[in-house]
Amino acid sequence: MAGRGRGGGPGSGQLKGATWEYDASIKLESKPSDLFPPHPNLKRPAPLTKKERREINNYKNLIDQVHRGPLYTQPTKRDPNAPAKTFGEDQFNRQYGTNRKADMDPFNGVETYSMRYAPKQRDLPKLSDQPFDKSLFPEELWSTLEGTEGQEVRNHINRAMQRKAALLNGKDKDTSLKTRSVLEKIHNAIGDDDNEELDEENKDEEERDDEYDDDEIGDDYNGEQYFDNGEDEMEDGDDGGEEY
Amino acid sequence: MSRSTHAVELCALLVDETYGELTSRIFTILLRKGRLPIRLLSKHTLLNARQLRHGLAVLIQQGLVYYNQDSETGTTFYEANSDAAYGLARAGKIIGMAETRFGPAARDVVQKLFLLGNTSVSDLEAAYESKHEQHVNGNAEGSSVIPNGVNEHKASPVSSTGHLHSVLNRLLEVGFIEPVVHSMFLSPADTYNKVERGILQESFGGSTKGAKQKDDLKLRVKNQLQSIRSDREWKGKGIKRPLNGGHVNGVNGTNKRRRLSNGSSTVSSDHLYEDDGTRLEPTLIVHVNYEKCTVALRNEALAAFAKERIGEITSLIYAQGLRLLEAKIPRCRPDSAIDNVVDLPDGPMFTTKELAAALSHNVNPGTGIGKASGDQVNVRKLEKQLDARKPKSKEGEAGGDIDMGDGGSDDEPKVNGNSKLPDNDNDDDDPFADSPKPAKRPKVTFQDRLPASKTSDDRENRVELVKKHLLLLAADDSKFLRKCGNNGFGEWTCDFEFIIQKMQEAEIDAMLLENFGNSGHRLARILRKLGKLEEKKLEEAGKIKKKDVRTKLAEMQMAGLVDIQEVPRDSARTTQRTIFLWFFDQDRAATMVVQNTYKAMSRILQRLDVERRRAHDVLALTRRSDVRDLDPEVYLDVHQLNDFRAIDGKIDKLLCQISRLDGLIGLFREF
Repeated sequence: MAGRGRGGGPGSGQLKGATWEYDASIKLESKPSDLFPPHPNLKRPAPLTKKERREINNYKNLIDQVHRGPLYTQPTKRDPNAPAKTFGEDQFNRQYGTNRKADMDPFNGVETYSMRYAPKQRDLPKLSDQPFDKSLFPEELWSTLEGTEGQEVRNHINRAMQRKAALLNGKDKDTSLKTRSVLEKIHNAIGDDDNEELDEENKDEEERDDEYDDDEIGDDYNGEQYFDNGEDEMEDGDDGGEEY
Repeated sequence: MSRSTHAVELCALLVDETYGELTSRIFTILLRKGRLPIRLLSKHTLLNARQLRHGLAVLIQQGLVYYNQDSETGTTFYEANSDAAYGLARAGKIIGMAETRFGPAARDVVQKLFLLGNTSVSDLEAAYESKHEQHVNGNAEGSSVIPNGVNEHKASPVSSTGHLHSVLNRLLEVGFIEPVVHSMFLSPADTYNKVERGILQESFGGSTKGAKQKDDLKLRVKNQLQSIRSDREWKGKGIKRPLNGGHVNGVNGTNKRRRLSNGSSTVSSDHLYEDDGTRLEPTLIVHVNYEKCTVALRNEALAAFAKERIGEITSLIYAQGLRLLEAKIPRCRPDSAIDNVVDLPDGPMFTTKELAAALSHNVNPGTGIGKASGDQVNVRKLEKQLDARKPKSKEGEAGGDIDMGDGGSDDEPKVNGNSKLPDNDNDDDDPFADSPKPAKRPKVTFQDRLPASKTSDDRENRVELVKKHLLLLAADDSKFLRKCGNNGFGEWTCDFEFIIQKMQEAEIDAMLLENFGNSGHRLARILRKLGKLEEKKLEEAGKIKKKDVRTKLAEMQMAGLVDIQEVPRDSARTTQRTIFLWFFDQDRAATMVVQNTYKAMSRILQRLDVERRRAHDVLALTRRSDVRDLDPEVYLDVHQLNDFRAIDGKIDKLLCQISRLDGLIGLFREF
């Protein structure tokens, strides 16, 4: 093919038909091309047959059920008008991972009374609502399935809290510095001294974890929880966050 | 298996559509990067470990992710299963197929399985029990009623635990669902490696020497893989008997056997057999078997093709024949790593007799093959042609006045419609018998034969009639069937590869015609038939002007459908002394179709998202938990209802387009 179109014209080095002579009547196409030019051969698809209609209803029904079920996670996707095409991981990840509560739409985001019927938005699947056969999963996921993930950490924290509370109570009764230090020593002797440091570390970890699942940031007024008074919260203990 | 970018995009969108964002983010990265442990996943997705573990649990539960725990390091690697993700697009079809074959109960069960993923029988039972309770309490929250009011089934079609068990058992027998075993969670490549390593250690002391040992190793791996796979298969008979022991006496057993023998043919007869006493082990874990469902879908596609080419009744008979074969075909395309590629010359086959026995009695084989009225046709001549088989069918096609299809009404009382088995009376829900309307013009079918058939043995006559249809199928250009024996009034087999190729050709032809017009279509067909051609020859063969040929070919080359090969006549390779040969590559065209289809499907899914977001206001209303189980007509006002209808119609159209495109993917990729 190459070379066939070229060289056919009167002089070489020239496109067929086009010359360098001045043409007063020439008009350049300066208009930008259509973004969505009409399709040259567009036809209406055939109407749905009964069978297709049935299949589609099945599909819609299934999807609807899944979306109501415990495994579905709501989209947190940011700007819906952003281009669907992404280049590279960074850009792909940047479009998600926003904190829904931080990016709340101030006009429509404030919860109203009628919103109590709106389906719950979920960032993590609620695994406790569905039967699982543990043996089918790799071992590292077992704790997640059982909901015991982070249980140890939470226990540690709870214990530390109790200790603190006891300490504070003690302080009320007997304010002398000496008794307090003695008490502390006793507690340390009974309790697990070496876990103390571990506690601290774990607390940090827990805190970091909690930053992500935003349901857990305990504050005294949480507009998002206006209607659900925390009855079915995520299975994480909230005692971790409260102290900080 | 590596897939193209379009396929990856589509799979990610499908997972997103079904299971939400968290899972789809993980899945996308797994598809793009291949196998990863959680640590690296976290690096790529920027999700924390807790989110990842939750997401992966969902993905594994739904069978979308393989995993492999490395025994040496103890790390678990996760790998995406793109086939299962693509299967989500087919969910509607699979559920629909279960319904047409086994009634609403099966639909419900299959849907539940899609919903729950890998589920043990006892969990399924529990799910149904809780649902029943909810129905009793009048609590609409968890019931399976569709909010859009498409399909108002207030009561669950599965009436009891026994019913559930028999439905499950039947689905297992057909293979639509399969028991889950541990080896399924290993990706095919991992399984292969594991088996190979095991055999190497065991028999070869760590490594192979020479070509002979290597071949030996390959063979052994293959055998082992085959045995692993056969372990997975549902051995209904082996497991059923001991389980049946307590419940079922011999009578019921035989009853069941008989039903099963034609059970695959009878449709929606299940209210007669609510509970056949089969009990499955409660710990048995099952999930949907996409491979087998694809086989069934292929049969549907083939039958539809036959309907298009020959006629409705013939296609119904063909569908039945394929269904007989289906039991012997576990998957459409054998895996070269596992299956022996050298197959028997004749694949699975069925006999005319079996087919005639299994055929639903609402299908009347006496109709469908065209006959003109007696005064228009020289009957004697026709019968002579009927005797000589192959010419007959061609004649039947070419004959001027053919009554194809519309003569085949289901409730036609005239010919041979008598039922021989009592339990077969009400299976009229055939996929192709959507509109069983009586023929418009006066029926002239087999007038001349009718008296004879009534007096002679009915069954034999039926076999004869069925055979005629089969001959018609075999004589078609597409070779729907091939005769391979004479037992039982003829044994038949189907060369799937050949006919699928024919179907692909037909599809590509249709596309060419649509996109490049008559001349483009003609040029491509010439190239296909004659191979590589020079432009001049093309002009001659196609009877098209030189200029037109050139522009058309250039256009098609731009689209990537045809291409040029240069053959220099001397070493100088000048343009003048080079032959330019045009060719049309069917495989290339097929891959292009597949890629474009994937792309189109993902665009449609994106479009769906946009449309939903636009109509968010009204859709949010229908999703409210207090009204979502009601018909929207009840609670929406006129404007809202109009909006809702509009968006619902749009969604339907888009989904319909997806399912049609999926047909193409099936044809070009999976069948």
